This record gives sequence, structure tokens and C-alpha cells, in this order.
Amino acid sequence: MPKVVLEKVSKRFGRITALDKIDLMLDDGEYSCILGPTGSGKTTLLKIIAGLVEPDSGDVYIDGKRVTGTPAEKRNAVYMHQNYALFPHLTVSQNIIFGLTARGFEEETARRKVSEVLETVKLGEWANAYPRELSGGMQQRVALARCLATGARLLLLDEPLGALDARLRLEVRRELSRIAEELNLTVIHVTHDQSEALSLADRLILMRSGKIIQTGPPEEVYFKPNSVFSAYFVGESVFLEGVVRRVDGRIVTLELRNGTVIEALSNEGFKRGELAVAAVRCEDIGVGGGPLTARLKEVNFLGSFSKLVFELTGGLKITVNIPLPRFIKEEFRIGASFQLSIPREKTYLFKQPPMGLMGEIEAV
Amino acid sequence: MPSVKVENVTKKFGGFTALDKVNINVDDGEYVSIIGPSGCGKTTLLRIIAGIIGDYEGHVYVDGRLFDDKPLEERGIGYVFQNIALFPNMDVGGNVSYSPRAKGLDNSVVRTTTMEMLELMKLRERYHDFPRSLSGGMQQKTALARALASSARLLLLDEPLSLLDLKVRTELRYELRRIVKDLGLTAIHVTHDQEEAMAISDRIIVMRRAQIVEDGTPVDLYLHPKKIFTGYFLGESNIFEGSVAQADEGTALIDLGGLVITARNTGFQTGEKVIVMVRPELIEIGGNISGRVLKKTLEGLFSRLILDVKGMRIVVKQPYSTVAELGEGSSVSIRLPEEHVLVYKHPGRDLYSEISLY
Amino acid sequence: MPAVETGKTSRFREMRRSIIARLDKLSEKKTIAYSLYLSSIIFFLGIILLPSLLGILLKFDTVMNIVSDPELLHRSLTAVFSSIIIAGIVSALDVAAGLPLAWIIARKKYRWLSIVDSLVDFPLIVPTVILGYSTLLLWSEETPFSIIGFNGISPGLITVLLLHFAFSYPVVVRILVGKLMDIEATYEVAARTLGACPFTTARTVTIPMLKSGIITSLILSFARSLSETGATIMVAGSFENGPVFIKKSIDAGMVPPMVFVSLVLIVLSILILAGLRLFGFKLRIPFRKSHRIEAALSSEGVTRIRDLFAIIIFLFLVLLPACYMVLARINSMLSYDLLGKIFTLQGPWSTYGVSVLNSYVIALLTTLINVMFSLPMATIIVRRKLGGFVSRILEALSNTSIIMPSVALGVSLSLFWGTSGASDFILVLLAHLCITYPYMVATTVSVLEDIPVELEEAGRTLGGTPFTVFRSIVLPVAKYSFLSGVILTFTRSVNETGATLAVSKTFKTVSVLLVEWVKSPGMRIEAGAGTMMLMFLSIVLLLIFRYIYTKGGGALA
Repeated sequence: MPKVVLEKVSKRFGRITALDKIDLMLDDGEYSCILGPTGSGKTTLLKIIAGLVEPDSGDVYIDGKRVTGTPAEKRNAVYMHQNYALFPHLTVSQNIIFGLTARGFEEETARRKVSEVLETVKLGEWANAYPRELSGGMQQRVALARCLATGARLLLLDEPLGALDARLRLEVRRELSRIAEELNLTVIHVTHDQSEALSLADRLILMRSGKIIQTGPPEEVYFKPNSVFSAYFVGESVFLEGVVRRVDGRIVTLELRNGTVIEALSNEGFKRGELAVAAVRCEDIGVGGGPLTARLKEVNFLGSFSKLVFELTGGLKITVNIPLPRFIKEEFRIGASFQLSIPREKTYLFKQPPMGLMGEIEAV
Repeated sequence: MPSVKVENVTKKFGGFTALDKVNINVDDGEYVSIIGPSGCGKTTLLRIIAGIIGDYEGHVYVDGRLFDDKPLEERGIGYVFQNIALFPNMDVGGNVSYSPRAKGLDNSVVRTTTMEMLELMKLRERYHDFPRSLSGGMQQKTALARALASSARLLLLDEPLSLLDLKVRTELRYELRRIVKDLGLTAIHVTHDQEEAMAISDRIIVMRRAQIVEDGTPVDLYLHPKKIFTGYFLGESNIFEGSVAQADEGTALIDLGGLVITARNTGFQTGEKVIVMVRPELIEIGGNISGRVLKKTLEGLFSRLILDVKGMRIVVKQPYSTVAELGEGSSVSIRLPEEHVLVYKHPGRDLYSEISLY
Repeated sequence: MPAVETGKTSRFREMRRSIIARLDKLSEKKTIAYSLYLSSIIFFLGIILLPSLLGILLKFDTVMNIVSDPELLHRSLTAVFSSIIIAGIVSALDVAAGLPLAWIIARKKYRWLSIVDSLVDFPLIVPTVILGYSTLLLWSEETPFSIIGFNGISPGLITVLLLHFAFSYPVVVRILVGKLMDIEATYEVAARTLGACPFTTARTVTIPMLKSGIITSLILSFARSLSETGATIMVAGSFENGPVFIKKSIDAGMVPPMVFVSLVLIVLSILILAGLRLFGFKLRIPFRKSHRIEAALSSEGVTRIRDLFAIIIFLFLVLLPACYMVLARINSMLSYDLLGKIFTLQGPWSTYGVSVLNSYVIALLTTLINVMFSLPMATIIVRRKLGGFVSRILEALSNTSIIMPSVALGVSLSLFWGTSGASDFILVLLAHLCITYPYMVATTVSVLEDIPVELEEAGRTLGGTPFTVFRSIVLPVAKYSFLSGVILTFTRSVNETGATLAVSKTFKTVSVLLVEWVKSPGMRIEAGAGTMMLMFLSIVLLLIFRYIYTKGGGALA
């Protein structure tokens, strides 16, 4: 059964360290998402599992067998490229047959399998079309069918939805999850889209600069982020920098730059006078009936929820996400004054990162 | 001041109709998004306004002046490309100062305009960097600065954010809007991302298959779309086929095949076939419709539940804190608020072809 | 692919399958891959690089004979100087005149463009020597322009320039068209929306982005002009450039001038080309601002005149010389009962038939061997199998024989292999291998560079062995661009004269035979007819080749 284990895997490209001593263990039948920004090493990790890139050091095991040094075609794993890499000179069915004959299936069996997988991805009528005649969404399904047909139980997907229209992406996301479940596949899926990762994954692996930052079920990563970066990259949070003023058991009092005082719960052993960063989910901030007075500066309607930007004294900005039903019922007038609350049981407190807050969360 | 009027524009590529009698109006100072699935003609429309594509039927006016025969370099339009298209042989400064130089302006004017734009986009320290050494987000900011330095008052944006990482994309989107509004520009922004369109624009024009479907403010289009496709394209929806079981003054009972729900009657007759659309986040927990949770996933601030209600699948989205105790297999009761149940005349054709994204 | 299987084909299939299976197994072993790479490097060093240089190096001691003889030294250095000047002027003119035509072909959408596009390649299938003779007739001996009062110029510097311009022009246009098509239209559109008129756009965006193409064009036409021998002799009159001087001294039985001039030419051209590569890429066209005149230059009238000018230059300076020899003789060829003799292989035509066969056998072998060895070589270069440094060194070295005067290359080879007792046939084959090798490697490199590495990766992870992936994905995807390399190698071999003449006295290829005919006054009409036949055969052969190639695609997959 496909079970993937990585032991101290490192890889450098010239002066750049793409992967730095990665340890990882994935179970059979698990859907894992490797999430991270561009350049975090997630694609390299996937290619190392596939056998398309050899690690400089460390070992890869699939199904308990050490496969380091085994060429890609001998691993029971199949890799799908972001741009699909469909063979342009072959038709849809020939593309699919390629993997079957390469793995030694008889022609008869191969033909039957082709119609089977084309049925799975609902492309039966397109068997004799060339890739260039298909829309982006269909090409994506052909690539998936080509992987499924090989019968490999380990599917390695590199940004499989990245090249699709936003709306189509949502539909295909559901489709992918259905197929993986029905065929009981082990999937490793690389993406930079946190909502995609959250909704698909049984296990989320958050990466940054060649290291794994956090791994666990989506709920765990979402509700118990272990670092500023984790809270930043998964979900949306407001970050507040300040100085620890008081520690009373688990309750830590933090004074922000503008003088506002907030509280958070932590067992991390903060000391008075220490710099710290508090993170609160944008949807956990209370609007109406709180100690903080703020003025509404901006309203951004996003459909199922809206993003309201409030300004506290001293120019401190706080973004709050309001679900649609509440947004319709209440009036949020720009310029109006509101009372905000930051619930201490939902505030995560972290030590000040060595590169400063912006070093962790600046995207552009 | 720039206003744009597109009048009855039709464009064919060989046998393929890319635009079919398209009319749009964009007011001065307005931020308008054009959205639709790929291949719907939105980019062609933008390129026709810019003068990149010619040979069409109909007319394009900017500020009331006919633009059909104007060469593109004389249109005074800022254009931002999806693939960014920074000149690889010039550094950031060279790219941003390109337009004033190409127009033969004085050196001092070139310098002040360039510095002003670099300042605005916070790119001053990057003056001597070449495009390939910049991140995607930086590159697109440079491209924007380059377009703005042409002192264009009308900005055309062709999927400007689609090649960027998600986090970068969402951050740049607000910066883009802020700059356009601060400078008082008119912007037409083409995108396939419905969330981006809603976040950024004053008005959205929805396109599909070479035609305009409808246009309106983001809130109106999301909550009260006139067309089923609009509602479907702007976000996840529960879409059912049904028939009017009983039409009364003001309300109507609609039979979805076993499940009967109440909706506002906007002129339907008993027995009429209809399509019903309900946004998952507008469905409330607690009510007289009972079902069972088939699947639960976390999607940011919402938990997404797939329910089995009398054999029908209904998707519900609720803030995760309100459904924390529900798990797969739990029973739950829901309510479909009648003001949020949208009812449409059945198009007669099959539903899939009505909403298909191809 | 449903097929009706007879017993025979099924046995054939069975055999093919088992061969493929065995190759598949072999290709999995790294040792096999590396010995393949090793053999291609040995082939390159042992057959191509060292023999072309070693012949010269072996006789290096004779250089002193020249240095100590002031008169000979002066003559040698003058010849070298002329070569460099001519190559410089010709390559500059080629780019200046070729760019506008390439621009029309790549950017405009006239219906007649496809005809111009294929006519550009036409001069390539005319043997260079014949082009030389044709040039001589057109501009000097039998000029048709006497009706407008032009009585021809005597053979010399000008005719050499005209000739070199004509034979290097097609290659330059081909390269520039390719590069222009590769530049995304978005950049030009972006410049236009920013307010730049078409001329400014070209000056500030397109041409700077075209730089690598322009430099490649300059290098190729420069090298080709330096090395061409056979045709240059024909039009040079008493004028001497490097290769002509070498040829004259060889004919007079003197080897030292060849060693000296070749050495100086090689060293100088390596310096010049390296300088071009190094500084050419750093060169920037300054852009302070757009001047009013640029808008005027963008106007439709000016553009039309420029386009017209480009086409006139192509028609009169390239296309007409290429076919003038045949055109000028066409009357006498038709009045003479030549055709009967040709097809019954009477008189000189039996020799002609043999030499055509010789040419094609040599060309075929040359192409096959070069394809075999340049594929692993190109793989090493493109996929950096032995590291980036080795790749760069090998790529640079593989171009050496391009800049050697072909006659010097021939002499060097015969000096090197002379003692081995190899037959003339083998010597000609070796010479042709050396001359065409750079073209084959360069095309194969660019073909492999264009194939996305993802396709190979996808093939591997779907379960294909390296051999399967190469056979069923890389080759079929690359085949059309690969074809152009094969055709280039083949035609270059058929048309080669300089080196062939130098290594062999008895074994005659058709180009060599045609040169002999041209030189003997009584055979001029035969020479014309022979050229026409050869051109006709080349076209037919190319068509057949293309047909087999596209139809046979299935066998590869």
C-alpha cells in the first residue's frame, strides 16, 4: 500500500537550498496538500517523491521500500504537471494508452482501461481529439485520466487547478475530491491556494523556504497555527505587534504601538517587556459592543462574505470578515464609528520573529 | 474626461464569432470589471477598445469621440497585460520612463513623471533592477507604473493579477483599486475571477459566449441576478429544478421533487416549471427542513456542509463556530429564507447548457 | 491503430517488439547512457576536431618559411586582411538587407508572402560554385543589364562581395524570421499603447530583443564568408583573399602558406567572434527620447518604399544570381538535343550519372552518421549531462570547423589521414562530416531546447523508460524542426566543393564535376544543363524525403 516516507531529504540548486532536511510521513489513502508560496520548495519535494529529481542527501520510501535512486518509471507513483504536459502529437486515447503500454499492459486491456478512465472524467466523446482541440478544463481532465489509467495508487499533482478559471477551479476541486475518494488513492497535491488546500486535504503540509513549517489536519493548522507564518498563510488574520506588559498565569497582556491593550492566552512563557505578535482570525473579531473604538474606512463585498477595514486610534488598521447574512441585515456605513472586541481565547500569541513581522508576512 | 462607449460591436475570427453585437457604457471615473469564462470574448472586447484588434463591425467612442480609425499609439490608453510584458532589455526605470520618452517629452518631464510613478508604487529602490530579478508581484507593479506614466486617464487591465500567487493577488487587488480611485482614473478590468471582480469594481459586466449577459453592482448581481448564469458564475449556489405547486398573492410554494419550499411570487403561475437558486451561506440552521450531514469541510471562515435532504443534496455554509458540534452523519434542520430563494422561469433547455462554463 | 496482420507482419512486429524491449532494458542502465555520451565525444574529438586542426599543427614548423620571406608574408597578410574585411562588410550588409525582408515575412499578412518565404531557401540548393559561376555571368561576362548601359564589371573585389552576399543572405533571413516569430507580439503592442510609433517600437523594443538573432546571423555569415573557397576563386579574378591564396599556393605545390594563413584566419576569427559574443550582448542602443522624424518614418509611404526596396534587393542580388546560369542558357539547352543524351547517359553524362550517385551516397552517409553522433552530443549540451561548464566548452568547440577555410580544412584532413592509406571515398566522407557537423549539432541543440522538459518527465513518471520516451515522445515532437537540420546537412554535403577538391583527385562528386565543366570552355552548356538537373533532382529528393518523413511518422511512434 502506498505510504510515503521522507527522511532528512535535502536538495540544493547552485547556491539556493530548495529543501532542507525534510522529514515527512504520509499514510495510505490520505489526501495531502503541500501548501506554500512560490519558491518554498514544494514542487521540488513532489518531484523528488516522483523520482524526477534526485535528492542530494536523505532517503525516500514508498510502500516501505527505499526508492532513492530508483528511476521515475519504476516507482509506483505518477506525476501530473501544472501545464498537464499532454503529448501534442498524440490523441486523447493515445495519450492515455502511452502509460499503459509503457507499463506492459496488453493492447486489449489497455483499450478497455482507456474507455474506463475516460468515463470517469466524462470525456468519452473526445477520445480521438488532439490536446490542442480541447479547452483548458478538458485538458486537465485528460491529464488526470492519463495518470489514473496507469493504475498507480500514488498520485502526485503539481498545482493541478492552477491553470483553470477561478469558477471552474471550484467545480474541478469537488470532482478531484470525489475521484480520489472513490478510487481510494493516495494523493499529494501541491498548491499555493490555501482555500483549495483546506477544503481538499486530510493532511496539510505548510512549507516555506525549503522547510516544513507545520503539518496536520486542516482544522488543526487553522485553529492551532504554530507560527506567525502559519497564521498568515492559512486563513486570514490580523497581526498586532506589541510589548508584553503583564503575565498572569496563561493570560498575557499586550500593549500595542498605539497604546491599545489586548489580552491573549498562552503557555509559551512570555516575560514582561518582551516583544510579541498577536494574531486574530479576521472572522473572530467582534464588531459592536467591544472596548476598542474604530472607524469604518473601507467595505469590500466579496459575495459570501465582506471584508471591512476599520481604523483604530494611531492609524492601526484592522480587517474584519463579516458573513453575508449579517452584512445584509446590518448597516455598515463608511466613516461610522464601531466598537470592536478581540476575544482573548481566540488570539494566538507568538514571540517576535527574528526578521520582524513584515519579514514573515509580506507577500509582494 | 474618459468615458467609453462600445456600440454594436461584432468581431469574427474566421468562422468563430468572438463578439456578437456588444454594447457597453463606462462612465468617467468608474471602475468596471468584465467577467466571464475563458473564450467568452472579454479580452477581445478590451483589445478592440485599445485598438490592438481592428476589423470589426460597430463603433468605439472614448469621451464621445469616434476611435475606430485611431492608431493605438495615439489613443492615450494605459494597458496592463496578463503576461506583464515588461521590456526585458530595460531596467525598471527604463520601463517606467518608456512612454514619456517615446512621446518625445523633455528630459526633466521624463524624470519627474518617472520618479512620481515609482514613488507611488513604492519601487524607487528598484530603479536599476531588471524585470527578471523581480518577483511576479513587483513586476506587475512596475507594469502598472509604466502604464500610469503615460499619463493615460483610461486604464485597461487584461487579467492583470491572474499569474500571481494567491496571497499576492489578493493584496495587489486592493492596491490597484486604491490607486485608480486616488488618481481619479477610469478603469476597465477583465478577469475570470468572480471574487476579484466583486472586490474591486463599482460595476460588473458579465459575458458569456460572445454576448453580454447582464451588468450591475456586485451586491445586486450576487444577491439578485436576473440571469441564472450570473448567479452561478459569481459564487457557489444550490440550483434545483422544480415546479410551482401553488401560486398565491406575494408567495409561491415550489415543489423541488418531494421537498416543498416557500418563495416570493414574482408572477409565476401554478404548474409552471421553474429553476430555484439559493446561496449556501444564506441558508439558516434551525427550521422545519431536516436532513443529515454527508460531508463537512473547513473553507476559511465557513464550514461547508453537504446535506442529504429527502435524497437531495443541499450545500450549506455557516461560520465554523455555529456548526462546531456537527459532524458527518449528524442530523440537522435548516431553513431556506424565502427572501433569498431566487426563482427563474425554466429555460426549456437542459439546465447544464444554461450554466456550462464552456 | 487497427491493422490487418498477416503472418509476416506479425513476425516482423514480434521482432520489433523484442528489439525495443531489449533497448528499453539497456536504456535503463546508466552505464549505457554514459558510454553513448562518451562515444559521441570521442567521435567529435577524433573525427571532427583534431583532424581538422592537427593537419595544420603537424606542419606548424613550416610557418617559419613564410615569416622569413617578406614578399610571401606580405601577400599572406594582405589576403587575410581582405578576407576579414569582406566577411565584415558582407555580414553587416546581410543583416541590414535581410532584416527588412525577414520583418515582412514574419509580421505582414500578404498572400504572396508564402511564395517569397519559400523562394528565400532556393539559393541554398544551388551548389555554391555554380552560384559563383552564375554571379560571374550575371555581373561580368554576360550581363543582361547591357540594355540599360551597364557593361559588366571585371572579376575582383566587387564580384566577390556580390557572391558572398548572395550565398549567406538566405541563412540570415531564415534565422531572423525564426527569431522575430519567437518574440511575443505583446511587447510591441505594449510599446504602441504607451505611445511609441512603429519605428520607435522597432528601434527600442523589437531590435534590442532580436539581438541574439542578429549576433548569430553575423557570426554565421562572417564564418561562411571566411571559409568559402570554390566559388570565390571563380569570381575573384586576380584578387586574393585567404582561401583563394591558399588554393593558389596548394595548386603550386606549396603547403606553408596554407598552414600560416589558416592559422592566422582561425585565430583572428576566434578573437573577432568571441568579441562579438562578449561585447555584442552588452551593446545597448541608447534611447533618450523619440524624435519627430521617427513618426514620419513610420508612415505608410515610407514603410512601402522600404518593403519594396527589400524585395528588389532579394530578387536582383540573391534570387537572380542563383538561377541566372540556367536562365541564360535555357535557349541553347532546349535547342540542343541534350535531353536525349542526358537520359541515355551518353558521353559526359555517364560520368555525370556516377558523380550524382557519388554525391548522394556521401550526403546520405554524412547525414546518417552526423545524426547518430550529434543527438547524444546535443543531449549532453542541452540537458547538461556532464555539467554546465563542459556543455559550454563543447558547444563552442563544435563550431570550429565553420570558420575554417574549407580548402584548408580539406588539406588539413588529407595531411592527417594521408598516411593512413584511406581511400578517396573515405577522405571525402570525413571531410563532409567535418563540414556539416556544426550545422547538425546546432539544429539538434535548438530542437532539444524547444521540447519542454515536462513532456519527458511526464513520459517517465507514466512508466516509460528513457528509450521509450525518446522514441515515442521526443522524436515525434521534434521531427519537423529536426527535418530542417537533416535537409541543411544533406544539401550542404551535395553542394560542397572546396574541401572535396582538396582531399580527393579521383573521387568526384557532382559539384566537383560541374566545376570542371564550368572551367572547360567547351562544356558550358552541359554545365548549365547539369546544374538544372541537379537542382531538379534536389527538389524532387526533398519532396520525397518530406513525404516519407511525414508518412513514416507512425513507424517511429
